[in-house]
Amino acid sequence: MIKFEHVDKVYSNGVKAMDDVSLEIEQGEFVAIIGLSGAGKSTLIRTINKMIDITAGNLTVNGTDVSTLKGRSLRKFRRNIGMVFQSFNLISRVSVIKNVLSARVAELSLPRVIFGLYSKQDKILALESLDKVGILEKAYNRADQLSGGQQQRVALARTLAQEPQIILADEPVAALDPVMADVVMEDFKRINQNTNITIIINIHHVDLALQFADRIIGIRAGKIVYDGPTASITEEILKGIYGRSLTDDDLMKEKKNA
Amino acid sequence: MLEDIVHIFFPRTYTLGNGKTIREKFNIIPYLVIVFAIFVFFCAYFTGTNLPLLAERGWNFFDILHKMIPPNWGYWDTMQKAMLDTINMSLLGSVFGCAIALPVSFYLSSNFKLNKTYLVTHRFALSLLRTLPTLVLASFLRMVLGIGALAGTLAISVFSYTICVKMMYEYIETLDMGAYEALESTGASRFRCIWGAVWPQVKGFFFSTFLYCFESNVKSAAILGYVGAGGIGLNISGQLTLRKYDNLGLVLISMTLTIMILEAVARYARRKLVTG
Ligand SMILES: Nc1ncnc2c1ncn2[C@@H]1O[C@H](COP(=O)(O)OP(=O)(O)OP(=O)(O)O)[C@@H](O)[C@H]1O
Ligand SMILES: [Mg+2]
Repeated sequence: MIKFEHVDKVYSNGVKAMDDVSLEIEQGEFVAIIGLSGAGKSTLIRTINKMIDITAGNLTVNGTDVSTLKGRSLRKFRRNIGMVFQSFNLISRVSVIKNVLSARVAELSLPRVIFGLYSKQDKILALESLDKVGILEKAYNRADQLSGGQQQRVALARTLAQEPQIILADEPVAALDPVMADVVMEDFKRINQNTNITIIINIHHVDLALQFADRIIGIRAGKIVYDGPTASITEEILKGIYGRSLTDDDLMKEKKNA
Repeated sequence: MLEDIVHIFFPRTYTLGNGKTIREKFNIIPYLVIVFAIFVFFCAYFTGTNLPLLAERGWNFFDILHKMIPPNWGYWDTMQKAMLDTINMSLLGSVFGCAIALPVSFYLSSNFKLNKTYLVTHRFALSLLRTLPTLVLASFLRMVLGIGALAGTLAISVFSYTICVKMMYEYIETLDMGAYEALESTGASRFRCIWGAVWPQVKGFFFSTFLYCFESNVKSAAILGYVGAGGIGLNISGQLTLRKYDNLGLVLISMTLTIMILEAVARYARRKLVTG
């Protein structure tokens, strides 16, 4: 369980990106965080694996107080949390399978890391992860020669190869076209249903959030303004989150019935 | 048109339709371009006064060139030993210099947010070291270490180190740190993040920098002999003072060929490294 209690984040330049955030996320939930650009979505998600430090309040993940972690204990903690990025963050000039295997780098012995010696189990794990996102046949291609959608699925496979309990995804489909965005979101959904991995996704396309997530957290200027099941979202609530009516920019696909 | 040119030097303030104003950012580059142009003009002006002298004496050069042909093949044995020495010095120096440069260049790249003071002081020391021509360094080392290839090798190592570190950290700083961040988020230590995510992206550039150092070191190693730091330069200066131009001819031909072959090999290796 991830538990925020009155958490603040004030950046060194004085910007308050999280303002008294309190929430609980159970194991296995599929949560979408929505809000305007600059609302604090990335900040929130990155405090969970301490890529960003909080400045006040309490944050625990499965009972561990995140703010006390550092050095070795922090690295050990991070192994249970996968992360997927808007810009994929793959290692360029390297094959797909090596990219996926890089998720094991934190676990392996140093000589294995230095010489790139991955065990048979690791390789099978990597290949299975690729299979789960449907791009097994690309395993030996160079990662930077794939399409954006395929690259994001490699990134997802890499995260799966890490065997995490939680996956944090920061705008994972913002760089993709609507069709690929759907495919990648389906992958997240399927992984969530088959494995009980908690999935927390930042997303600024409201329609995708509503279509795939079970729970929506809306933030505005660092504050949580909505937290509840997807089913009870209304036009009014969205207006509250965005401070205005929705525009086409807030949707991945064109509005069909407007 | 003319007005736009003038405003390259004097930033404007723009007023938008809704009354908002935005001031253009001051750009120093156009001024620098002009200063540079003036500088180049003066350089050309001052060297230009020497042109008649070049026309007068220049012919001596062809005279010497003529005496080099045919080269004296009897000099081959002495020469090829010195040549091998030169290549060895350059290779050894480049390997040492670049091998030490590799880990250091990561320390000096600002994207890993390592110790700032260390970064600035080391970079400053490096730029000081770079102002020292290899030749000066070699003559200094020769005084300390005595005549021979050791002084030359060491001078070449230091030179390769300063060049390689600079090229590398500047390259590393242009890299996208996304892959590093991704590995960091899996809980890998800093060394593992660098080894797993950054090294694969820089290794082609590193080897190509190494090859570049090696190539240019063969050329500079040829000069180091002048100050007694070993290698073929000893023979060049020696044969030149003895006016044995036919021996010199052989040295020059072999040097040209050696460098051409090395460049071809390096080019091939580089292509393999970059695409492979
Ligand atoms: N490293 C930083 N230093 C200072 N301020 C920052 C930093 N990162 C983010 N901010 C500020 O914190 C606020 C929240 O940023 P954040 O990146 O979390 O927003 P976001 O909701 O993810 O936006 P987007 O949808 O554009 O990605 C913004 O006002 C931003 O300018
Ligand atoms: Mg963001």
